Amino acid sequence: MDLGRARKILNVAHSAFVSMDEEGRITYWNIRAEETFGLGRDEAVGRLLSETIIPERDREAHQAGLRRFLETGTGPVIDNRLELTAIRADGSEFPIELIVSALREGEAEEWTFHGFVSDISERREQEVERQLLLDQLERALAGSEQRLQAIVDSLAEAITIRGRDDRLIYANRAALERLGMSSVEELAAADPRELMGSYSAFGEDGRELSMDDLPSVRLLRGEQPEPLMMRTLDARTGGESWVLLKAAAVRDPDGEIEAAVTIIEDVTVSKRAQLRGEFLATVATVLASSLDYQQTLRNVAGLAVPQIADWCAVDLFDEDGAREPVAIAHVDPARLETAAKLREYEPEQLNPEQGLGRVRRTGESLIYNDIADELLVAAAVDEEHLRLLREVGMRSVLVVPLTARGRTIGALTMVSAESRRTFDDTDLEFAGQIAERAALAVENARLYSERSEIARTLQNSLLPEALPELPGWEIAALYRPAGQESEVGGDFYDFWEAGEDWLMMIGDVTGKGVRAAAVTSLVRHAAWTASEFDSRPAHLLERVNAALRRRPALSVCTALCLRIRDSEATVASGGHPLLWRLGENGVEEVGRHGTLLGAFAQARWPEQSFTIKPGETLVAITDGVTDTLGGDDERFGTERLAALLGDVREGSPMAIRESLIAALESFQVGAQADDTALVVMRRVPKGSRASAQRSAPESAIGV
Amino acid sequence: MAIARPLEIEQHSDGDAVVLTLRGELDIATVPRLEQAVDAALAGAPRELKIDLRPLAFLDSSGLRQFILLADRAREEGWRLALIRPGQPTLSIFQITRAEENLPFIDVPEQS
Repeated sequence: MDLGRARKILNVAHSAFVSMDEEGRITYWNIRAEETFGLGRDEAVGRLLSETIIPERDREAHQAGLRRFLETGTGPVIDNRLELTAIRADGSEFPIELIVSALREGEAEEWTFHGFVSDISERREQEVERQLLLDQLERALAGSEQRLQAIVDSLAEAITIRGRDDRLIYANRAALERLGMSSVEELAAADPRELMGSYSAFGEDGRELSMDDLPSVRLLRGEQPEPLMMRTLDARTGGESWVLLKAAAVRDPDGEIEAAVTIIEDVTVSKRAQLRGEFLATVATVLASSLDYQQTLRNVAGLAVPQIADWCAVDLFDEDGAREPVAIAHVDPARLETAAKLREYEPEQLNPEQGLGRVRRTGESLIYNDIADELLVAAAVDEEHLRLLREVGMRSVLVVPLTARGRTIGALTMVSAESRRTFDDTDLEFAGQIAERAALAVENARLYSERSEIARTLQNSLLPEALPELPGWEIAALYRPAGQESEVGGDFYDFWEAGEDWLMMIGDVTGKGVRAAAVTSLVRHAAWTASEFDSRPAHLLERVNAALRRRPALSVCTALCLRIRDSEATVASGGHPLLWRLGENGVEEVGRHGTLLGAFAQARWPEQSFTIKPGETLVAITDGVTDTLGGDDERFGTERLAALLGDVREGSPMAIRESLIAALESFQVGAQADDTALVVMRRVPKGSRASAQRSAPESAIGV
Repeated sequence: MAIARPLEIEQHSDGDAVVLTLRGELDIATVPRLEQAVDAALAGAPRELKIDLRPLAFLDSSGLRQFILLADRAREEGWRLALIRPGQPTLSIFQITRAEENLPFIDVPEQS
């Protein structure tokens, strides 16, 4: 290669580059060499290298080495990386790294020597500094300061000091134990990245952490780190702990960061308590969110992984000791297939001596830690079974009973596998708390479904089985209870025949539940009985009022009673919203207000009679319609109802019913607050076929 | 379930009477609050309990039932109940049920 071109390249090289002839005179000196040694090329070239860059005390050795090389063609300096001391033009010494090559064109030619020189002062300084700090610490902590060392060592908090090169240069006794080191010397020698090797570390968000996330390391990088809450898993023991790391800077007199002190506080107990409290609150919310306990148990199992265990399963037991697997969860859905295959190996009937069967029999928890392969071999029924068991890789298992009213109704199983965690007593206690809530949810759901069944039966008994066929009339009705399925609503309507007449009654008993159902039943029976003697609406209301007044506790009810005799209608209200009449003249309320039933000694029920023309429609409602709550705290109200009825007055009863439902649904904000009942009756228009049209009562809940 | 809507109850004395002023909505969700307030007001055995319904925005049948119970209780226990008549729409439930003529309503000039 053309030497000129090579030198041009070498001139811009990152390292200093120096060439020398057999006499030891400098023949080349690049720009970096000028900077490194503080000497210009023109001055350097031609001078003896030894007198230029080698300290006086080493020059003799240099000359001897050179002579030896020229005689033998080999030497220890050539082609090796060396750390030496050099001098600058001003006489100051500094450490360098040197690589020297020797070249010669042919046997007869002279040798030339070429060296790359790097200034390693900075690297050296750091090492020296670390040693100095270590010495200072040792001095500070030893001798007269032995007490301080004793104090620092007696602290429960682990304390470490990290030097600028990220190495740990000090650790107190607690920190050494945590790191598995026997002495500060061993620690100082260790590669800082390997120190975390036996631990897996995770942030609060579950993200795996590396050394670069540690506050001390970030502090040394010039950042201002917040304290770090870190979860660690010791790969050897499977133990989990939570530590809070806080770092503070140690600065030299110039204010430069010299080292970072970390205080490592073990907060496992309080952090677990906090997480578990939060988790239990979530579990309670999930369990209360629905009465479908199978689904909620699946949701709870899903919450438990991977935070608490790698696997979480819930099984319920039936009376005969057979198991019903309800839920199994793992973060990785693919692994659930393994679980499904394993399930096939499990007998329908549980073995009362082990696992779930034992928990069912004794009602006590089980915990297995560090499950050995022999156990799997013993448990496996065939090769495939063993393969699957090994595939799961269980390390620890805990099983806690689901107990309701003293009976073990199921079990919650947690398995630690790939996380390599082991379970301890606090885990057992925690799993027990989850199981307690889960058992309660199952029990409540079962009780509730019984109650709902009773409520449905009761409610159905309070409504007519089917709307009657009234000759010359079309009828539609709606009954929609508010609130829970297990509650009986207080609204009702009824139709019955009394001699020549048809009677319709719609009412609202204050209150809900079985008490309201009993009052409703009383009201209907009183009205039926009264109508056998006298079918006038005022008479029926009077008898109902009297029956309610005889009850020991205040039982009040509103009711509207309508009698139809051919085209003649008579209506009376016992504290109930008035009847609406939709006719040629528009929409109007008919009848007069009467006294609330069951409430007062003084009462009257004025009747009003009128003729209904063909095509006219009567609408009776309960106050659930007008009290429906919309946005801005506004009620649906009488005016909105009147306007709506006016718009739809020519429609069939079914169409009117549907329009009203739609209007209430779009108006309503939030859940339906009150029961809603509605009866719409139209005298069949002339020319229509006189067959009655009916719709079945609707008891769908929720709007 | 009904959303619990606020009911504010304020108590003050007016001579021999204790006055409860009801603001907001009296329904199945807030009736227990009225019961508590009435018990507290009657603990001092006043001769008269006045309930000011004028600031009340809404009242349902559970609320109405409560006033009927209170009127019965006043008769039995020998103290006087007075309901300060509200305007519409709160008054309408008392009119529809004819409770207005059966409960001890009084009228007071603006801001007693």
